[in-house]
Amino acid sequence: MENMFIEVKNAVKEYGKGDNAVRALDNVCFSMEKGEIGVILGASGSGKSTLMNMIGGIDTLDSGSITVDGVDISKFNSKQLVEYRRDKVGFVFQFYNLIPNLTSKENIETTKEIALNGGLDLEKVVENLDITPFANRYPSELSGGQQQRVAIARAIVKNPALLLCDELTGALDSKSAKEVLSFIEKVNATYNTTILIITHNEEIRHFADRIIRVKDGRIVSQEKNTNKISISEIDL
Amino acid sequence: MRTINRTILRSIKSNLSYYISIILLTSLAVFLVSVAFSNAYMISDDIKSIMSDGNVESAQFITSVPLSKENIEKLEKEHGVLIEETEYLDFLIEDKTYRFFKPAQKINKYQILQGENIQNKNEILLDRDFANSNDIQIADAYEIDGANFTVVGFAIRPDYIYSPKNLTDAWVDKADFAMVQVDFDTFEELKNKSSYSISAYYSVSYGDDTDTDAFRRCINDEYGAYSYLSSNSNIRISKPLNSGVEMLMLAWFIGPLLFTIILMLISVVLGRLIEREKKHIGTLLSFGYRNYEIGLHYSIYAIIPAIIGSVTGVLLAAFAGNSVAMYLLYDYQLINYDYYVRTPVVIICLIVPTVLYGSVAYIKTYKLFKRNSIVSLLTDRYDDTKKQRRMLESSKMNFKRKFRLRSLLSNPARTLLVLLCLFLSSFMSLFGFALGDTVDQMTENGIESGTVYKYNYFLNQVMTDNIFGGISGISVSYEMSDNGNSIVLNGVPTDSKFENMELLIGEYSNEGFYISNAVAIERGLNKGDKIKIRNTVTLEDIEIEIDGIVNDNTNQAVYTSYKNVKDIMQIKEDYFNVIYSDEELSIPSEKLAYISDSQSILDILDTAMSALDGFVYGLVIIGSMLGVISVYLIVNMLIEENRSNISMLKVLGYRNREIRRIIMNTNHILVILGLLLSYPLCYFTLNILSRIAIPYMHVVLQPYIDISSFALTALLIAASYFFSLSLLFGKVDKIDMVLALKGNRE
Ligand SMILES: Nc1ncnc2c1ncn2[C@@H]1O[C@H](COP(=O)(O)OP(=O)(O)O)[C@@H](O)[C@H]1O
Ligand SMILES: [Mg+2]
Repeated sequence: MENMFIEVKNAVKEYGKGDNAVRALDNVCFSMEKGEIGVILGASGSGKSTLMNMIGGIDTLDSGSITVDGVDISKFNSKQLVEYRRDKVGFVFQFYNLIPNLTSKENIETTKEIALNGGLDLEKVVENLDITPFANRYPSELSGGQQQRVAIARAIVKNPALLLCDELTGALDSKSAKEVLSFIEKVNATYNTTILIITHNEEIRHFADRIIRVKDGRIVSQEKNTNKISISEIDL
Repeated sequence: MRTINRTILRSIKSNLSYYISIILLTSLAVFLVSVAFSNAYMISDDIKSIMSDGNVESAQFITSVPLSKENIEKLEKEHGVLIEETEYLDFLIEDKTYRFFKPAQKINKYQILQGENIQNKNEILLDRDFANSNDIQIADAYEIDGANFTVVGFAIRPDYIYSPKNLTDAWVDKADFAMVQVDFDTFEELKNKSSYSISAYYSVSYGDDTDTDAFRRCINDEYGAYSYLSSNSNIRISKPLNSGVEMLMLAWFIGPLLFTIILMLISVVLGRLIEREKKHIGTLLSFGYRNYEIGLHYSIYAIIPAIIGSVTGVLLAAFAGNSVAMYLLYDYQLINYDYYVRTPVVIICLIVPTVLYGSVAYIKTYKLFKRNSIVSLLTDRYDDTKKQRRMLESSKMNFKRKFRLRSLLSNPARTLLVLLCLFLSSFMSLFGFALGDTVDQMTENGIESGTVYKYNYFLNQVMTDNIFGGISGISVSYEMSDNGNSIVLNGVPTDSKFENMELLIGEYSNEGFYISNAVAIERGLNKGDKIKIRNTVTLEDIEIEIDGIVNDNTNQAVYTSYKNVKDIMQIKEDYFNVIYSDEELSIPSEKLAYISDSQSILDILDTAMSALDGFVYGLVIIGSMLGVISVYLIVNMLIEENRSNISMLKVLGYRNREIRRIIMNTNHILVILGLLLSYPLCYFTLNILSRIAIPYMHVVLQPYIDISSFALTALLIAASYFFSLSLLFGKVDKIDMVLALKGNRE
């Protein structure tokens, strides 16, 4: 288990206090290698998002540790976490979370601007993700699939080592979902980005290198996918 | 309704800054307005009652033939007036002047403020301000000129509520000028001492149907009047009477201004709240709630801060307003002011804000009903982007700048409001400072133009032989024939520096008549125009043609040659009553009415400035408060609106400082704009104000704004602006990243 890109050990996170306390993560251990696509499966409220937020450095553990690219981020203070997210992590969410009064292109610029080493060529990313036709339109004028493509572009334009996608296809029809996932696949292939995807959709697991199942804040299984296939061959 | 009104309590918690701001501004406005009105009432009640109880004079005059008891009785009968000789003795020792008044029977009777009336010889009453400044208590023994007196109380004469030692003094020196009331015998005894200088004039009080012109003509024709001064021109009497008007002007200016801003703030903030609760409103309507019920519900949001703010303001005015009121009356004698907030003021202050604010909120909801059907209310999602201005989509500008520009333009009403507040905030500070600059400038110019010679000695009598040195001239008091405003006719000596007086228009010649710029501007006069002036004693009118305008912004005066004045007055001998000199002369004080020299004008500057200080600082403080509160409220609103954007930027890895810059720097441009606008508008306002003030002050204020004042204003505005931003830093920093992900947690 040496040289793992992500390494989560005995992660515990509780929300609330006393009788209302919810143990969102209960002694979670889990790891991924660099360049892998991982898929996290589990019912609502099982702790998937909590786990991802911890790895992405937007929330902190009660106990346990998370090491990403050889650095233990669980000891980071909030300032160090900002720098970590800024330099290493890209996020994509179910509800896109684009900034409403910025156009598609400007939304992408928001991360391009803070990218370490300048990030990727913005025009190329826009082109690759087929955003050009609506590059100057506002999020409210776009379909869900289009918005999600912009959100992905925004996440990857800074060329993050780690891309975290929380239910990124949850609000999309199967055609758009497939399009979006094929971009994810392409990103992984082109930039060797380590990608972690949360989903409800069992089918998605087939294009992953690693499949993690979560229940009640615990990892119930963690397996390598030996029959990995391209997303284009999967029927969503 | 009770259930939905419960949400109001919760809304107070979540919109605390809105409530605090509106409450603060409301209490400030209500405080100022109620103090100003209470003060004006107080002045008119308390000062006027002293004046009417003491039967203050309508005018004073001096005749060359003394009036006998019979003369006085005859005049009183014929003209329906009261006449009494006012007599006083001045005793000077070191810096102090003690003025002993002869007890009056009919006119200008003193009123006891505290203590007992005089019972015995050697008992005196002092004015309270002198006693306070010199730490004298009632029952203290007090020695003046070797005589031992007992202070039995404090008293005030109705013609000395504003108490400059000389009528021409522009300041009062309460610590060094004592007004002493003694009994008749003591007065007569002191009169015989050589160290006491006597002054006397006749005071007259007109009846309701006195023909004043007839009376004045009569005293001149029969008794040879030497001078005549009506109470309107007597600053000791007119100044305190007018101070209430100044107070009211201030209230009428500040009150509506502050309330307009508050109403705009309410409209912007509530507008957003209502817009956000559209769906909720639609739901209530679909349940069968009536429009007015919902309208009333939202008016409560405005009425709560209105009530709390006005109650606080009125309470502050009642308990703390006294000191502000007294501060504003600092120039006047401390009479027994009865400061309290008058019932009509309380009622108006409590009702007006409540009704105004409530209506604004009600109208806001009503407009929503008019624009939307229930269905559209129910289905319309609150969406900031709808209103976002589409612009600059393909411009190369940095996204941060676009973000700010769009957020400014997406809510033009709000942007204008911030601009207005920032402008007013700059304007008030700058105006305060500029007022100082203007007075400063005026006095400096006044020194140059008003004093051709360093020392001007005005005598209290006419003379024929100048044994004192210097150059002699004559100065006669006139009034404008049409409105009675005082104007001095100066006969200036030939072959003197007056021939090189600085003229704004015209050339100097010995035949010509020249008016001061103060007169020219007040009456819109120019070279070639004619004016009619009336001798205050003889009531004879003369018409003069103006040959030029003297650069003199402080005196209401006509300048002409000594010979011309002699001709007008039809005097043969070389009478004079002014001596001009560049060196100090020793003229016995009993011959002097007053001295006007550069130093005393500098003193005027000092006092004028210190009197303005309070006003200036008041404006600066109100301006800064307005700036701080409005910026706080609006930027707070901006942050609220951008909560999810902020949290998303955090997720993306933006540092807090960077996020603050993107969201909070939106208004920087408005600060600069407001500041730049304030300069010309301040200049413009000063100009208008000086025109309005001329008829009251008879002085021309040349608007002047010093660069340093502008710089100081800029500094103040920047400081208060960044101060209110800094209050909100924490709020941006605290916004949780998880917020952006709420939709993702199932
Ligand atoms: N910020 C939070 N505050 C309180 N409870 C939370 C918070 N985040 C998550 N939880 C709780 O933790 C549990 C796991 O949530 P989450 O990780 O979002 O689940 P999933 O993404 O698998 O649906 C849930 O019971 C949720 O209610
Ligand atoms: Mg989730």
